[in-house]
Amino acid sequence: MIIQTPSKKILNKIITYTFLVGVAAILILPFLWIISTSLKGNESIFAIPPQWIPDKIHWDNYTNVFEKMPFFTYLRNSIFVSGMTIIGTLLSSSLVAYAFACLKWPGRNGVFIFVLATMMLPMQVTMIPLFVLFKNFGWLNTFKPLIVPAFFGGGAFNIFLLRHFFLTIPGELFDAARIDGCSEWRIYWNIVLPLAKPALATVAILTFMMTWNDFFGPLIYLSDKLKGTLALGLAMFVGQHQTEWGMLMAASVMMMIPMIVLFFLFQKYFIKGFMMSGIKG
Amino acid sequence: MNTLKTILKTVGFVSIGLMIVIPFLFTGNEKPETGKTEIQYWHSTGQKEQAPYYVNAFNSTHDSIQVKPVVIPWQEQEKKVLTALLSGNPPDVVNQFSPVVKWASRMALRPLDDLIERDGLDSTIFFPSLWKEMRWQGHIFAIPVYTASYAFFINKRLFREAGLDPERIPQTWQEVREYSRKLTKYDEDGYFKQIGFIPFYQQALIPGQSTLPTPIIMAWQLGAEFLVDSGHSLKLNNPEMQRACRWILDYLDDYPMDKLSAFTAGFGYGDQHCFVSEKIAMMILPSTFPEHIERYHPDLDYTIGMIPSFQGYPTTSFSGCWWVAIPRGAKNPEASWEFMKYLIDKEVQLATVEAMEENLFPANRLAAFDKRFDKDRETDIFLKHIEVANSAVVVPIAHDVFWREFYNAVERIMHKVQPVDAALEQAEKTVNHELHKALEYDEYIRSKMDFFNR
Amino acid sequence: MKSIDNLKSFWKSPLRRNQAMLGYLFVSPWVLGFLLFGLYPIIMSLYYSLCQYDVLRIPQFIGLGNYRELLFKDPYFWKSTWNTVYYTFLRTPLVILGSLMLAVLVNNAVKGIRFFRTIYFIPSIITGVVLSSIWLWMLNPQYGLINTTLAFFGIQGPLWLQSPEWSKPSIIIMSLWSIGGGRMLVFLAALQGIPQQMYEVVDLDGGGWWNKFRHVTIPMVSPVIFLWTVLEIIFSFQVFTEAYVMTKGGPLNSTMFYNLYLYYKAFDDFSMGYASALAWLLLLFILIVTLIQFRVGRKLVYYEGEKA
Repeated sequence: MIIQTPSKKILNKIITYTFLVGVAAILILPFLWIISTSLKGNESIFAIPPQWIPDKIHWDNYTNVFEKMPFFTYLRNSIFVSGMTIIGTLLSSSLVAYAFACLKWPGRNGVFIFVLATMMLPMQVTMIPLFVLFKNFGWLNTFKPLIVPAFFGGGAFNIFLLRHFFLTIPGELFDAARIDGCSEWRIYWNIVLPLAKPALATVAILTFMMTWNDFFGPLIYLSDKLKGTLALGLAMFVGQHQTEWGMLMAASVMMMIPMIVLFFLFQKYFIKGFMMSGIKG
Repeated sequence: MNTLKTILKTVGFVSIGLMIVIPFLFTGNEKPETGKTEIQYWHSTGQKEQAPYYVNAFNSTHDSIQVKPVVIPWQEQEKKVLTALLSGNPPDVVNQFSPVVKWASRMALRPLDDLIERDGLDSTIFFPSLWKEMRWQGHIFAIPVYTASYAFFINKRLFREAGLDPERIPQTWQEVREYSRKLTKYDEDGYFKQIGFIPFYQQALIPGQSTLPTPIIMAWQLGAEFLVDSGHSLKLNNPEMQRACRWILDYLDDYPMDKLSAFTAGFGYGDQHCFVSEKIAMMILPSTFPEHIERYHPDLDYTIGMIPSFQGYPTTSFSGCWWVAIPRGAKNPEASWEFMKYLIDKEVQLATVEAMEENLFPANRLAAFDKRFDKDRETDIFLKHIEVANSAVVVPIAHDVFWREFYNAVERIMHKVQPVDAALEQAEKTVNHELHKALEYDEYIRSKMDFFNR
Repeated sequence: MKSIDNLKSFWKSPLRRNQAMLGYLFVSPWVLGFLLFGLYPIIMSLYYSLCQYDVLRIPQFIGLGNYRELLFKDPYFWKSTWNTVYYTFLRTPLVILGSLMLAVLVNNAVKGIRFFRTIYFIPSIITGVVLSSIWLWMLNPQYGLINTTLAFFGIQGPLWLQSPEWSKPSIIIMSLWSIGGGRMLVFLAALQGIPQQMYEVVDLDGGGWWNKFRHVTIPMVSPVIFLWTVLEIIFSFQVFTEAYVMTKGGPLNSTMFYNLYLYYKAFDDFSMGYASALAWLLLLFILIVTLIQFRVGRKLVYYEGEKA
């Protein structure tokens, strides 16, 4: 470490915190607004300028959510769908990314462009044929259409992301392992995956966000009331003429909390980061 | 390494836990009671009760049929119905708000003529404007259940403030214009604080904010015919429409577009609705709106009257209704029909409307005009509007294109991007192009498939 | 010919052959998934693009009719393409720069950093009606947070979503707000991989933060910048949600983006054939742009672990 004078160190810290707090203040405002709105009655719900602390706190918005929708059933379904999707995505996308980043095989670049191209066709036009396909599989009104595809590749985005991170792992590491007689499976499982923890954590968080908030998939594939997910339940608060704003905001807050908590916990894996500098040194 | 193990362990435990849960998830379906025909009924009229009143009433009075209601979210409900139709296992009865023709013309609904004829259903019990909407090419595809109506809402407090008599609701557009001048207020920077009436909005940014499109209301009042050539083309650039647009352009001279945009951009949801927050003094609003006022501003002093018209012309309104129909391919048409007939029974209609929180009207006129139906002055005015309503379905098989083009054209006119006839002409051309394409496709389908087979 | 020779020598080496076999094995989940779930929808959409088709009835083959109409007759096609190109080229650099700055900021190992990261992450998980109600409030020209702040500094804010000139920038601002999600995370993961020694070298040379940023951070994260440029362009060309929940394409079609138009065609008008043709033109366009990027990117990007 370079020796810094204490005053410079403190100055650096002050500057850092000023920026951190400044940006945080801007980005947190809307969230505070959601929380505040979730505690309001109808009288002043969208008042301008916003009334940050309501005169009368309406906890009933939260309790009503439980009455208006089978919250815990939906929560369970959402956890199930998101959990399975994360597992499938992590396993399969890392495997496929390994093939693209760490193994050499004829046709690799061509197939990779193909993988990317699947991201470029708007889902609006593939949605209907895909629905028909799942119908023919007899998967309608089950969670399978939402989960099973994740186990087969895990999506072009995640493959691309992981491939990229695998590419940054020093090549000597592979050569050394291969010379030592390590099988590719072992290199993948015991070397690459532990090194790519930040990337895997990122994929896990992003996959979770996407499936947790997904409204369209559950909407078209699930018809049974008890098979709904939270995102679907949330949409029930929006009507043609009336929207239950208080409850909608309350349900949103409850839906956001697991994502926030998970994100907070997963950060552990960002802090240590890549160990590769240590390995190389 | 240890952390990875922890992740894997956690993931392992979680997945094992979930595996235990799966069987419950996949087998938790309620089994229909033996001997009963179970029918699936999809509706999206709010989530207030777990099952709508009439479903419970039907189930308790019918031994052989069990109705299972499924609420579908209002947003994107069309997509839900669309995919259900493709699934080959559609619900037995759907309750929808979008135009019947949109579905009927695409062979998505079962024609009901045989059932209607067999049971001698009297179609004259319905409001004629609603019944007309159920028809496509001479066949009936759906049954109207309830409807919403419109009226001209005025803010009495603002009227009094401006020195106007709140009991004298303007009857003509000319009067609206004069009243509006008196009801408009500015702040120190010359921005609007309050406006009497705005005949044109930017295409609604906020769902639920939408009022009726004034230009088309005016054109109808003047007697415009939009669909010509026996339904084969649209005439949007007609003298009535031009006159309506020019009148509005003239009206907006008092309200510069940039300031007006800044003002309308301030409208919001809930209590920030322009009428509820008393920013607009006169507005055409739906019959469900009093409930909105009740929620967000119960003290609002308002009254309603007939939608104004031009001097010497009769007024008109908009219609749209909730209907029920049997999707093509549904398995139990007889049981579904039984349920549908039940819904339009006079007594059931009265009890249903009574049980609903929203202010909707029975499609069955016998119920709407029954003395037990809550009949105050407001109801009376809303009912009168239903009687003079025009269908929102102007161009049956190019419905959405029509409205998109219509709003675009009006926007171009009001922003003075294009003169009136050029804008209308352009929209007309685009809609006609789409209409002709749709008709050609329709012809092709007819040559390949039997349109009305069951 | 040379490539075939290469291929031959490739298969001669048992080590390479072994690796290639494993390569095929490892990539097989995706291939299988593609064959099972991807191929049929893709082929069908290509077929529908040659048809008049409304989803509920049978398709009518019309050859290249949809494409002809799109390219030569449909003013919305060009309008929406222009809107989308505008959006993509203005937004992509902003998003990448913004998320990189944010990642650098949260890469400081100070107390409470996990808390700050979490706060930055929150905007990216807000969706749907809640999102649009927030932005309606933020962008309100008279009372909105943004314009009242500007007014505080004596600046008269624009009409934002209500103005044809400002509606696209408004939507870009809206999308910038959520860069604390995946984008910040990926940059952060990359920043964590930069060895501390490299910064210390700059310190020794007496360079300040700018030198560190310019000579260490930028080159070290250049692969991520490249990655996000490719991805952002793919995503931006398909911009949909913001316009769909906020403006519905207005005012004066200034936010009628390509995918929004496609969506209206597909699900409002039920012109699935036409929408499919739109989709395939988009695919073609993005593919060309992406391939060019890969060509150019190969020269600019520095991969530490380059194994090729």
